[in-house]
Amino acid sequence: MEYRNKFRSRRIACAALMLSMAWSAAARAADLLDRSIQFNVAAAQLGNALIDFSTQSGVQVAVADADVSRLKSGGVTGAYPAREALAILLRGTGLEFSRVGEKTVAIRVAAAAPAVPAVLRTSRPAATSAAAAAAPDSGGGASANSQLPDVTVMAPIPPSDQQLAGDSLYQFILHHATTHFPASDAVRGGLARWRGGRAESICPVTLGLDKGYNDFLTARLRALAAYVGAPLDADPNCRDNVRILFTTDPEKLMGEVMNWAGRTLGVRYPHQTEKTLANSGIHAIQGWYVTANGGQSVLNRDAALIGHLDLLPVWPLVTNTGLNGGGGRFAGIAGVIIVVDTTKVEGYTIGTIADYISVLVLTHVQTPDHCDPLPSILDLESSTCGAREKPTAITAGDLAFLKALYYHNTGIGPTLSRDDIQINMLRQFQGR
Amino acid sequence: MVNAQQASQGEGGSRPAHRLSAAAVDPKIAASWRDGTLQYVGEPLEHVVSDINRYSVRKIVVAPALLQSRFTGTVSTANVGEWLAALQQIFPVDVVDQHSNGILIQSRDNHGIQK
Repeated sequence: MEYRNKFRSRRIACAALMLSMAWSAAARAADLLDRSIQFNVAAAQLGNALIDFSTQSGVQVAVADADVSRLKSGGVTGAYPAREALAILLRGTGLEFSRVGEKTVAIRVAAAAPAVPAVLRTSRPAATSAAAAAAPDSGGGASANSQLPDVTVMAPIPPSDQQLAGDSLYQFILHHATTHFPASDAVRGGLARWRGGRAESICPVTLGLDKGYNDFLTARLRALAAYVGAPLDADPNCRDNVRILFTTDPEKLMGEVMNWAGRTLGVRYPHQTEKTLANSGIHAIQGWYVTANGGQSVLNRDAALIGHLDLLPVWPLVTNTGLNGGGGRFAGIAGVIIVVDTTKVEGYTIGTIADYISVLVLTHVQTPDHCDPLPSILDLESSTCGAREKPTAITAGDLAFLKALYYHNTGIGPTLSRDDIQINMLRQFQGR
Repeated sequence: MVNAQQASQGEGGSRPAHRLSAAAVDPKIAASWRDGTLQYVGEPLEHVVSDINRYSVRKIVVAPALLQSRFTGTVSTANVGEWLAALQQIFPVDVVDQHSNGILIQSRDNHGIQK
C-alpha cells in the first residue's frame, strides 16, 4: 500500500493520459527494444520463456494465455537486441508482437493469420479434382506462406487433477468416440476409427478457401493425423476420402456432396442420404461420416467394395438409425464430409477451425454439444460450456484420446473399448 | 533474475487451484513481488488486477465476464498504464477511464459475454 507518492500521482496522470490517447506511441525514441542484452532464456513453455525474456530485458510483456499455453519455446541464448530475441522466441508460433508505449509489448496471433474472412472465394467442389487441391507434405506448403500458422503439432499442457477428477475421463471418451445411434454396438468396443488400408487411410482435401488456407487446413489435418498415429495416405495425389468444404451457402452444396458421396464412396440409398444431408443449417460446422462395417477383410480394398457403408451425421437433428437400418458395428471410418458455413465461423482463426475439424475427422464423435471438465477443442461449438473459456486449439485431452484410439491401429487389431482408451490416456497423462 | 526465493509471499497459497496450478507455485514467479514486477502464467485477470490494485490508488475494475480471462506476462507496477493499453491488444476489451470511479476493463462490444 505504501508507495512513493510523488511517482504515484505522475504515474496515474500518465495512465489517464494514455487511456485518452490512441496509444500511437509506437515510434518512440531509441529504446529498450533496440538495446542489446546478453539473453539466457532456457527452453520452456512459451509463457515462461516470455517471462524470462521480460525479466532480462525489462520489457513488459502481455499475452492472452490461450494464445501461448500450448506452445513451447526453444529459448534464446546470446547477445541480441531485445526485439530480435523476442522475434526468435516467437518464431514459428504464428504470434507477433506489437509495441505499446515505451516499455511494453503485446503479443498476439499474427494479424495476417486472421480470422477466416467473412467473404471467401468459394470454389465449386465437385468440379475440382482432389489432386489439384491436394496439399503438399505437411509443413512444406503452409510454411511457404508466412501468414499462416505452423502446422507442427506441439504438446499442450497436460490436464490438471481437477480436470481429471471423478468420471471426467469416462465422459470425455464417451463424447469423443461413439455412435449416438442406440441400435449400434457402441457401448462395448468397436469404436469407429480409420483402420488403414487403401479404403480407410486418410486422404484429405480442403476446398472453398483461398489456396493458402485450403493447403494449411489439409496440412494441419495431416500433421495431426501423423502425430496421433492415424493411417494416412502418403500419396499427395490420392483420391480424397475426407472432403472439407467451405461455403457461404451450405444448402446449395448438399446436392454436390450427395453426388460425391454416392459416386466416390459408393454410399447407397441416395434418397435417404438426401434426408440425412438435409440436417444441416443450424451448425457452423456440419459433417457426416461414411462408416463401414466390413471386418478385417476390408484392408486393401476399395471403399466401394466394402459392401456395407453408412452415412451418419455429426449433428443429428433427427435420430436416424442409419441408412441401412442401423444395428451394425460400424467400426471403420471410410470417409468424412465436413461443410463449414463461412458466414458462421467469422472470428475464429483458421488454426482453431483446422483443429476442430481435425478432431471431427479423426474420430467419430458424438454430437459435439457437451462440455466435459476435461477441455476439448469440440467445446468450441458446444452450447453448454457457458462462460468457460473456449479452447483455441486441440487440447491435451483430445490428443491423448486420439493417440489412444490409434494406439493399436495397424489396420487389424482388437477392437478398442472405452476402457482400453481410458487406461491408455491415463498412462499418457501420468507422464506429466 | 530472482531465483532462490521460496514461495513464501503468501500470494499463491490462499487461492483456489487454477488450471495451470504448476505456474502458481513456481517460486521464481511468486518471488516476483519483491521488485515490483508481477509475473503470471495463465492467471485469471481477476487475480492480476487485484494484485495491481494493491499498488495503485486508482482502482481497476474488471467486468464480470472477463474475470476468468487468463493472462500471461509481466506487469511493472510503475507502468500500469501501458499494461492496460496492451490488454486491449491481446483481449477483446476496452479500458475505460471512469475518473473518480476508477478504471474499468470491459468487453469491447459492451454487450456482455462473447464467445
